[in-house]
Amino acid sequence: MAVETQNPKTAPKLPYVAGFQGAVQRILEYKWRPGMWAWILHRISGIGMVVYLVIHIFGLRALYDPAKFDALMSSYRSPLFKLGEFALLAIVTYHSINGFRIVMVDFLGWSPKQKRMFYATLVLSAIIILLGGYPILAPYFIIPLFK
Amino acid sequence: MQREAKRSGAFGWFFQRISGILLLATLIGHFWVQHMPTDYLADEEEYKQIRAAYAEKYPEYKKAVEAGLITDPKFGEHIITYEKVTKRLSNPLWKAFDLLFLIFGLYHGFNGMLNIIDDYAKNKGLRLTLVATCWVLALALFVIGAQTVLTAGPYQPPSFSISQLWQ
Repeated sequence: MAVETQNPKTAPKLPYVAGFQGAVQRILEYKWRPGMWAWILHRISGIGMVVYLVIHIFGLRALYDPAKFDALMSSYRSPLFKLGEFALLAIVTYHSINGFRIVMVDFLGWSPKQKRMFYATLVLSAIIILLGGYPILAPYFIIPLFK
Repeated sequence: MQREAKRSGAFGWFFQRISGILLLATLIGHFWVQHMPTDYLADEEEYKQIRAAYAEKYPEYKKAVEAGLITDPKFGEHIITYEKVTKRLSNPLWKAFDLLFLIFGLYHGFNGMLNIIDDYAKNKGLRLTLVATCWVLALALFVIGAQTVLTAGPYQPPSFSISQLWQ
């Protein structure tokens, strides 16, 4: 949600189509420039993390019982869940760094540099994802290759 | 003035950024202790020792190990265990850290959801339903999460006490 920059009384009124059809129509009318990618990836990753947060906090109720908690952690240690943990790292990293870019643009007025900053966001995210992802994936997908 | 701020969404806009910065700071700490190979996780050897010790101490734990629910460690793996998590949370400073993480995460996450609802849900009834769902979920998760953090682990005397400063 952005702060309104237009006077709602003088802004041109776009025809609003309700429901799913309208939503699809609006998405098709989006202009797919880097800023749009930055925004939509931020939004999708944000929704993904809220869903994860709900499951995560509910799951952690198991922390009152050693057997339940360690069994839960074991179930999270399958190759599929390790890929999920890696995906979580990727999502969190992108959202964090892109969010930081947004804060810089909003609070420090870095808007003239925002396109270059978006590319820097992608590069920095990739580096952090590779560095942080190695210890997560290694015991399941990398170390076994060399044994 | 206050009415104006509420209607423009400036409060939500501003605190989404502030909570984002605070969340990033706590998230780095959380990720470091729960996902990276540090002493806050059990390595292979420690994991085997902890598992054996707990199986001896708790019959339920032994049953779970025998049923194959608490699986063997992989080579080079670092694992989250009850022992290590509750040990970390026996320190009140870590309890405070996790509580702040919970609050920043829930505020930022659900404020984000309210923004998304604001953008897409134009129907009044749908809007009300979604906003109410967000509030109920967020408050319920706060209670559940805070309870998990506050009651975690056997009580141990705090390793650091403010009274040490003048003793």
